[in-house]
Amino acid sequence: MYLTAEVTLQEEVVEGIYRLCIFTPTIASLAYPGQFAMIRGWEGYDPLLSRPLSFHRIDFQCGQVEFVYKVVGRGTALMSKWRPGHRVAVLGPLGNGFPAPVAPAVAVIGRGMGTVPLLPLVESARREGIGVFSFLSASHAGGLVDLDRFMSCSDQVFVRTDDGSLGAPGVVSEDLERVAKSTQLSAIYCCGSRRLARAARDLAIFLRIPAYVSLEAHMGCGVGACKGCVCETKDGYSKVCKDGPVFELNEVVF
Amino acid sequence: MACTEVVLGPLTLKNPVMPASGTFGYGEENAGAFDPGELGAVVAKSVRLEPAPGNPPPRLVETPAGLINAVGIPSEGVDAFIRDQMPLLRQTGTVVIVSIAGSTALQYGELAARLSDVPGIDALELNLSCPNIGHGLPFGQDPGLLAEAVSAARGNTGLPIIAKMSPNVTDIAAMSKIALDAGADILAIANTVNAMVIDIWKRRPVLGNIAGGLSGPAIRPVAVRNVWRVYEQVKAPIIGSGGIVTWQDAVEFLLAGARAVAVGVANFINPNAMKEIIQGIQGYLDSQGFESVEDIVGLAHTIGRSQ
Ligand SMILES: Cc1cc2nc3c(=O)[nH]c(=O)nc-3n(C[C@H](O)[C@H](O)[C@H](O)COP(=O)(O)OP(=O)(O)OC[C@H]3O[C@@H](n4cnc5c(N)ncnc54)[C@H](O)[C@@H]3O)c2cc1C
Ligand SMILES: Cc1cc2nc3c(=O)[nH]c(=O)nc-3n(C[C@H](O)[C@H](O)[C@H](O)COP(=O)(O)O)c2cc1C
Ligand code: FES
Repeated sequence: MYLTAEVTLQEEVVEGIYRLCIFTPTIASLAYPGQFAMIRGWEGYDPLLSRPLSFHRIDFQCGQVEFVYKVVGRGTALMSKWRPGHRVAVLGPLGNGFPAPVAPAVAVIGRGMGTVPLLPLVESARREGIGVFSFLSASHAGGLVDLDRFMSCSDQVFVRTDDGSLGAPGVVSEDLERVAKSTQLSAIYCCGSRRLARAARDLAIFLRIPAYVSLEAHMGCGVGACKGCVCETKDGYSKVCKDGPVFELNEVVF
Repeated sequence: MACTEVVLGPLTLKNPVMPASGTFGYGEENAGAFDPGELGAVVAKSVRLEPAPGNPPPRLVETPAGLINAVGIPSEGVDAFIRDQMPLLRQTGTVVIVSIAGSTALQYGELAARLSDVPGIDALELNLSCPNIGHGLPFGQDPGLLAEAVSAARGNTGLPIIAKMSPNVTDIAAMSKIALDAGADILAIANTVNAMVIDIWKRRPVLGNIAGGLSGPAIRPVAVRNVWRVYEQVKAPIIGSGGIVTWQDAVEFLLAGARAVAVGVANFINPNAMKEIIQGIQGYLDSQGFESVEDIVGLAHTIGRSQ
């Protein structure tokens, strides 16, 4: 779906990380966790391309979708200037998102901005009465956006930060391993770190459960036409926008 | 309402707007913004004889008002293309142009032979910007290779041939003449401009393939000038492309001498771009009192001569 929609909220969550809400009932009714949208809302051709952002919250009832993004360059810097009422072009929902969580419980493991697409998954698992264990890491406490929402929708949340500003020292992949020994998990969902992805993959193979990862790539079209966004998988190159962004972890070549 | 039909030698299009090869999908890759049957033609991503994986990522990098791509023509191979893509292209109900890319001149001939009997193809476009296996230079940048590739295709097909020229040459008009002498019917002016970006922190090129082809508004004035020059020097219908985003851009190419236009990167940033361009051209013709697109082809030349 390609449409123009209105920004309803923009706020700086922590320094350099913003929350953006867009009113688009059509996309909110179609999207599911792990999918993304291509967004563009500036005049002129610099930057030229739309920017892909994962859905952070899909509020079907309010007809609103929410994104959380980090300012890393020109596109996201311009984005952070949008105010409520600003109209932007949105193409979405795009890609294959996360397969729906199944009982008894799922694990999500993410790092930094990679926790963004995991939140709607956690929220939907909670709605379905499925258990959720969240394993979140970041360089510092500020890098973990909406930790409270993860808390309120998870059975248990494990947090680790590189600088120790939040959580005890350690690595979340080990927390995950420990929990997996005592809890029956139906799947692991991962985003934001190759190291965590490899650890999750090995654990999932050991446990004989499916594991999924959401990947990123520089995107041209977002719909599979330009073949610009490939990642390496066991079948050769796959398009992150169309074949992903969520892949079976085992299929991806790291 | 002005007539939007254009005649490109052996090919007649209901309007002058088509996608540039490799930038628009016909099956599920279509962003679904409008019916591709409304286009003057549909143009498929270049197809190779054999399956090929394409270049290692990263394949895209943005520059001011531009996009450099080094996708490298990944292909499912011509057999799978005929089986899987042709039904989708045929179904659009408009003129179907199939773009072919060879690694040797002979491969252009083989591809032309394979595609000639396939129902539903109205023309072949030769992508001459891919490097040949021999000395790595693209066909479109070497007069001898260019003639060989076009003749090889011409020898094996009765379909109209579009030669998509490289702008990375000293004299694009001279190269265009070579393509026409070798049997091309129509010229596509032009493909992407050689370019690269270096990451100053990693101290290495950004693209997996080191360099790639620049497209987008950044190259538009270059492409307009190339169309202008070829129109002056060569008698053949021209499909203009390079950085067309709006109908105003398209009209500029028509005035420079193009009879049709191909739209590339604009499809990424606005899936409705081609539809808006078709409507915009129509509106321009009507408001300016022209009866048909053909009335404005090359019109800028009658007013000012280039030096
Ligand atoms: C499917 C998908 C979902 C995404 N979801 C989110 C999200 O929810 N929140 C978020 O903050 N970001 C997300 N991203 C990344 C986001 O799209 C980029 O950060 C953004 O496009 C950068 O644009 P820019 O103009 O600010 O930066 P640029 O000036 O384009 O780039 C700045 C720096 O970021 C790097 N970069 C640019 N684009 C990407 C990319 N796609 N992947 C990795 N590195 C990149 C560049 O190499 C450069 O070093 C997602 C990307 C994809 C592909
Ligand atoms: C991602 C991408 C893929 C492309 N693939 C092809 C291709 O397969 N064959 C071809 O002849 N041109 C290809 N091109 C070039 C375009 O068809 C077009 O000539 C060029 O992008 C200039 O037009 P534009 O500025 O409107 O994009 C590609 C361009 C892009 C950006
Ligand atoms: S962004 Fe174009 S194919 Fe994925």
